[in-house]
Amino acid sequence: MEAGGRIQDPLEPVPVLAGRPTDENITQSLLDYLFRPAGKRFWLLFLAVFGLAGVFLALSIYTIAVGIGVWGNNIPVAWAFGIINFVWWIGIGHAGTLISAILLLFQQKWRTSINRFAEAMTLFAVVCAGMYPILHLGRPWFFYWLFPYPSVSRIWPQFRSALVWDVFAVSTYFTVSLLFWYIGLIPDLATMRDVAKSPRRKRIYGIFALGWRGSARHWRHWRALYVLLAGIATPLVLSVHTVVSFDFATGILPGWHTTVFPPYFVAGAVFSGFALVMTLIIPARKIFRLEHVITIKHLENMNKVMLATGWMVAYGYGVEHFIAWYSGDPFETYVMHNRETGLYAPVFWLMIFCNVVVPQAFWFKRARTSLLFMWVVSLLINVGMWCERFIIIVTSLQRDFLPSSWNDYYPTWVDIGIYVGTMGLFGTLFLLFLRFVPAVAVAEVKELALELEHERRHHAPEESAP
Amino acid sequence: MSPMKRHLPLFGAATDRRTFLETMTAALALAGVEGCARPRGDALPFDRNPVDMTPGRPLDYATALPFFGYGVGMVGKTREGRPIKLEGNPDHPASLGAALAYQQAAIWELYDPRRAKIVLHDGQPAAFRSFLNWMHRKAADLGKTQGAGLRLLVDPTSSPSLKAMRKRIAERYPKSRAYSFSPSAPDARYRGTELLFGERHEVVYDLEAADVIVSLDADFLLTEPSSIRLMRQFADRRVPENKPNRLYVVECSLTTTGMNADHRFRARSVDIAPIGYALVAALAKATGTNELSSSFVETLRAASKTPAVERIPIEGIARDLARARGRSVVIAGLRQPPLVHAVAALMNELLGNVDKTVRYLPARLESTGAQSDELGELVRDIDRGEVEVLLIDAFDPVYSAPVDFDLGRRLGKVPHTVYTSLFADETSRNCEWFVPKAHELESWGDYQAQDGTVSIVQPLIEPLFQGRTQHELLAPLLDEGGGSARELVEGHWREEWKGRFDTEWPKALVKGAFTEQEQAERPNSSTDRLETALREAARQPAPEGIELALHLDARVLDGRYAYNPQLQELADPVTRLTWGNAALLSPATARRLEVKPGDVIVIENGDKSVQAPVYVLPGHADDSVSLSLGYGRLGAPHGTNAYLLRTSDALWFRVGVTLRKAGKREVLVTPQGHETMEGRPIALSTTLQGLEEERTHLAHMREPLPTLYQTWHYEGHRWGMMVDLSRCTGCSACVVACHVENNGPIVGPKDIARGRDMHWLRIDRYFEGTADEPSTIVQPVMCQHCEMAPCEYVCPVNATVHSDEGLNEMVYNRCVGTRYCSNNCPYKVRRFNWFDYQGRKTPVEKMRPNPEVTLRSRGVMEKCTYCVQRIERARIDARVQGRNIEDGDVKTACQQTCPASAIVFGDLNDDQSRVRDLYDDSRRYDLLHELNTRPRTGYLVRVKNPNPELA
Amino acid sequence: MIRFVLGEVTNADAAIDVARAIAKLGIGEVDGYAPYPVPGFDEALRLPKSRVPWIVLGGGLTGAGVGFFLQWLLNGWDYPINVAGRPLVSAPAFIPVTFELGVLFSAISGVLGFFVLSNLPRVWHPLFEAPGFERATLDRYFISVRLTDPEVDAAPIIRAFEELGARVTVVEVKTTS
Repeated sequence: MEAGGRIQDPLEPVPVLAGRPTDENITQSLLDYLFRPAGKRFWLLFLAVFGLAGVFLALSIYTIAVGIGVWGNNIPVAWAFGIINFVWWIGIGHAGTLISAILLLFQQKWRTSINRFAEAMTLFAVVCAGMYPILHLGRPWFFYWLFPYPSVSRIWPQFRSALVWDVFAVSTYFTVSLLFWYIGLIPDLATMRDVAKSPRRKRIYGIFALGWRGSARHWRHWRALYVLLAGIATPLVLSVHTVVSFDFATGILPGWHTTVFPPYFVAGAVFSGFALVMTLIIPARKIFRLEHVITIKHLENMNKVMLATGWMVAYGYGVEHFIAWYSGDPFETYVMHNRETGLYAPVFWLMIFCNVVVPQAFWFKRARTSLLFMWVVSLLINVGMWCERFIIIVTSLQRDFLPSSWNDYYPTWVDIGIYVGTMGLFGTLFLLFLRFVPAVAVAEVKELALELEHERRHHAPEESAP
Repeated sequence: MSPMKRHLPLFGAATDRRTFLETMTAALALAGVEGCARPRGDALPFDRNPVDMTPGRPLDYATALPFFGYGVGMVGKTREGRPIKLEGNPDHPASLGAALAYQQAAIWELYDPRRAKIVLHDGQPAAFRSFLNWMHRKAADLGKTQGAGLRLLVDPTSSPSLKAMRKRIAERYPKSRAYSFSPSAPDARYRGTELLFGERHEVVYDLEAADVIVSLDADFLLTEPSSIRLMRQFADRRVPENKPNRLYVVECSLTTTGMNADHRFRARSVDIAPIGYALVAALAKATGTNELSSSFVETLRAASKTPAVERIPIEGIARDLARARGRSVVIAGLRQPPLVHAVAALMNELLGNVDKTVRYLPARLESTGAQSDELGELVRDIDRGEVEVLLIDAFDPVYSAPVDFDLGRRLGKVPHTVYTSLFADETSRNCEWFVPKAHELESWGDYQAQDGTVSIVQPLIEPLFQGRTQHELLAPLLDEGGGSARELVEGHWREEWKGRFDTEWPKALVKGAFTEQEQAERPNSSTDRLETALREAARQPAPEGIELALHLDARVLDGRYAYNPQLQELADPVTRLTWGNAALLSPATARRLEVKPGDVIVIENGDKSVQAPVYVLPGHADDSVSLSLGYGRLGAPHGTNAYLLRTSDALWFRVGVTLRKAGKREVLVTPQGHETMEGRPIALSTTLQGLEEERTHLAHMREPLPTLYQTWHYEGHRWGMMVDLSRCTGCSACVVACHVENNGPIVGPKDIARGRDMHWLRIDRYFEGTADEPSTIVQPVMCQHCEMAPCEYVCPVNATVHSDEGLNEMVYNRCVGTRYCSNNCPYKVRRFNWFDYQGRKTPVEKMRPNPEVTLRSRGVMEKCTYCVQRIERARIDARVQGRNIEDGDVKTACQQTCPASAIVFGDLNDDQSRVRDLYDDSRRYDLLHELNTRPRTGYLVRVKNPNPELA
Repeated sequence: MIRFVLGEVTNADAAIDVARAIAKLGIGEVDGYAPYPVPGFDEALRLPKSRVPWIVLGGGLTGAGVGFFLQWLLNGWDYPINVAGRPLVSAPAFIPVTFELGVLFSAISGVLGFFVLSNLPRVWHPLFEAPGFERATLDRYFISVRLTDPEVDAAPIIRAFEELGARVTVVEVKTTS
């Protein structure tokens, strides 16, 4: 069949599904790479990230054995890399659910081919994020004291603390994302079961498919549940980063105590989340030859979202500084002044460059559609968002109320090692995912194909004539 | 003490049958006391409870510690036989119940595991017995030659019994000589009186009646004998209600006293003298006295011709002094030459201050002439080969002696040298015999305060390492039988008191202080000697160039406290430096030399030179570089050893040193991040004139702001603390007291530099005004125990919560260490255990901690508790006596030790309490009031009293 | 003995026509199978609306209730202590946890409800024995009629399938499932 069948729908100027594939060759093209043995390049990459994950493990053990003092933290900067990275990862973890849930609710066709991918990314990002709040504790082995369980002392968690809110928000977010992801995965696992050649694979996939057989009675429950999960996941996504922002907004520190934080953090999360999706999907679609399902159209739309969220973040920066000036609060004014001109000013300006200046390129179609360019931009945005968290957390602590207790912060090699280490952990999980789970929602693509087929008939009846 | 213990450590060289049996008995006896916490061989466990001891209750004993050779009365708190805390003895005039950091830290010195533990002979372990035998043999030999070859080198001491012993030694060995040397001896003041009165006198100041105080380079609030008493008297006169005094300070480097001046003028140390002369001349004019001959005044004028004098409003100060005749005092600093002290004494004469603000009493320290001269004579004796046996009980002379004496090498030329000290140090390496010294808290002895008050030193614990006292060391020289320190001290007072002994002795021990009646002396002055000296001075040209100024250190004094980690980690009251000293330069001089803080410079004094990092100190005199003594010791190698630049001809300062960059940098280790308040209302001060206006303004910084929550009400006790910034001098005694009382850990320079100071109570020091002529203000900051504490609502595990009496309580064993509370504490008073700071203690160190305070484990937050253990102790005592806790029952550690009594703690619900008075005082304000944290700790604005004429 | 009469077609539109016809017969329990949710399939098979939404709603409300009650109980009643001078029950501060627990419960109950309603998970089903049925998750569409009563004659169903051009298979299961 000839590729690139033109569609008149003005909303869909570029095909979200190239060609007119049959269900069979959709299945073929989307699944067969899973049955091909992993190539040399894959194994090299895997060993690399797996090694980094090892570094993470080793340094975590070192930290727990010797004491949190091996990190660079001090008084007043009692939070630093640990919390920065936590917020960074959590933020990244927002794109997945957002893409799947919100775009599903808005019935955005183009979401179909990237949601699985993005959801997986969410899960792994949240796993990485979850490590930090535990590691950064003075006594990590007592982390479970933050959960309300009946202990001998009968003391309970203190529910006014934003950290307890965090515990509930993050664990809920992880659970719901996992369910959402798995529910969406069931039909494809069944497909895997049915196309798998070796009985061993058949059995394993069979177990995870839970006996799915595409019954219409199941589909209708499945559909209802899937949409509902999307429905509750949407406010959840927003709530999670709102709660994370409460960690700072409910504090009294100048530079933290700000009402703009919740929306500003959520926007930032989506911003960085989309950026990482881009960073990963651009190479992935090439390696796994998914260009015909993940078309330039998807990438361009995502670039538009990044441009928009980028502006929301910029607005956040603006408000912070405006309010500091407008309120005339000497403490807050000084913190902002210190951000622009103080010890960490380079980080601040790097943040402005990456998050505000660079995305403006996406006003131009050529930028939005150039793979290399958008990939570089997505990397820069992730750098920028890390800087943002650094600026918010460190510079506020570093220059608070009493000048006598001001002090600067310098990370140690352990701080940096653990940060790089979590990237390894993320990579490891992600490669395993690509190896064993269909990275694109096969069933949904088939559904999409049918929809497009109907549209095609509707727009061009002559084509359907024999 | 049974003789058994004496012989236990090792068998003597000659073990006779008797010793052998004794030792075996001991071995048998001690086989059963493995569980006993005391070091091996020290004691047997009680077989029945001693009458006066209840396990779990502290027992207090009066004793004393030496300070500049004088006695400071102390009360030692012991728990189950271990001293755990020292407080000032309220009945002792030199303490008045208060203590400085030096005394507070003594506990750490006592339990220092690095203390010398064994007698050394030529570096080889030996038994004390063999040393005794050797001493007795030597004593016999020396007896034959009338002690021709015998020399003593000792710290100048006020101890009556020691002085008596030395006298007896001098009688028994007429040809022997005793020299006293201490790098910090206050001999200049003695020689000043000698210059004016013809004989040496103890100069005792009394600031109670002083309206105007002029300090010529005198740091009388901290590094001087009787500084505790002087600080109390000074502070009592700082509050507006008590007719505030006025303090003028002329000094080289910024000192604690300088920080508290109403008018401070900076001048090179060498320029202080001319300023003094000029002041006398001006005073003669202002008072219109005819006591001074015109020729003398002329000489004064001639001698005071230096540009430095021009920069100071001498006339104004003189007029102010003249207005306060008999109610003023002029004090010259120990660093200044005798001439300046004589001039100061002369001014006090002219102002009729004698017997009012200054008294002359018999000299307490038996010490002749200048320290360097005495040591110089010893050096000459050694070079002439006259010294055969040299007994040294002085502070590490090889380290602290003027460098040109090269004492280390010279000791090698003495056939027999005996040295005793707490630590094996530079001197011990150069001596034949080294005998571990008993710590003051392990010793029997006695000391005299400046005003003559005697305190008996009684041990709070058996010597931990079989240390000996000077008495025991000298005893063999005059075999009067009974070699133990107790016998010797008791013996002395038996002599003194004759029949009264049995009644007086117990009293003395219990009270810790008794005064021998004596008449204040009224020496008559003559300016003749002065005039000749001044002529001589006038003939000298005004010296130009960079001056090297050496100072006593506010923390390790002259280095004798350098081994004490408590004092090393204590931040200097002025520079806020810890773990070392620095080369202090004025901003202008630093600019001229193009050096920044942290740049290492080489200081060259003739052929001697040292390297030190630069610290740019606002208010330091230009063209002068200050180094504090006492650092870079063997075994405490922190900072720069300034003694390497100290020569016998210029002990304290010399003009004409050269400075050059070493081309490297060093980290200045300080817990304070920033030097100014950035215009924020934090540590507030005003002048007497501006006070009324300030009161109305402060009203807005005290009333609680509105809140949406319904607030909690505190029936019963409502603990609170008030800190009077008018009184606080910044001496930092409270910081150490708090750290010792609450078992604070020492984290070392690395962690301090990283910002991991563990002190619950810190003293912030801020500069205001210009960098050249700053005004300084200090502010103690500890947990404010906010009623609406920001730290509490962010803790996820309820680890920091409020007690029903309003204490902000930290529950260590519930804390998981999120450190959120510290982030949210606007005062940043919370401290975190980044590592296992409390672990890995030697058995000796394990005896130190206060059993009433938890040792914090790794990974938990900690902070000031308002000394909750003391509150509970008071509660128990009150309950036992069936009464309520009364005002004054609870004294926090910081409050109890504060020489300025700037800290008051108590029950805010008790209308009669002192703290309530201050709470209602219109000088009170809340720190960071706008945050509405409702702190229980309040501050009283500092009131300065500048001279309107000069302002 | 249970019989499954299975008709297989190759595209979605056909599947819907077949489903409509077979459902009209009203014999046995009719079900359809497709690799993805085919629009209109449910109506053709005359399947009622799913009850999952109600379960989710119930779960959500329960979760929120439990959430707030938990906080009231633990901080306000079981261990009341003065924290930062705030009221024991600081309702505004309790909102986030209340919300999160509501979401968590609704999600979990929804998933459980889905499993129960569609009586999953299971590893085996009689239809897995039908030759070619594995393509139900790939690219084929099936309509099945489940006959529990051995007396019922399957012939009309088979005829109906054949008229509509569906390939017919019959699966017989001995066990009662």
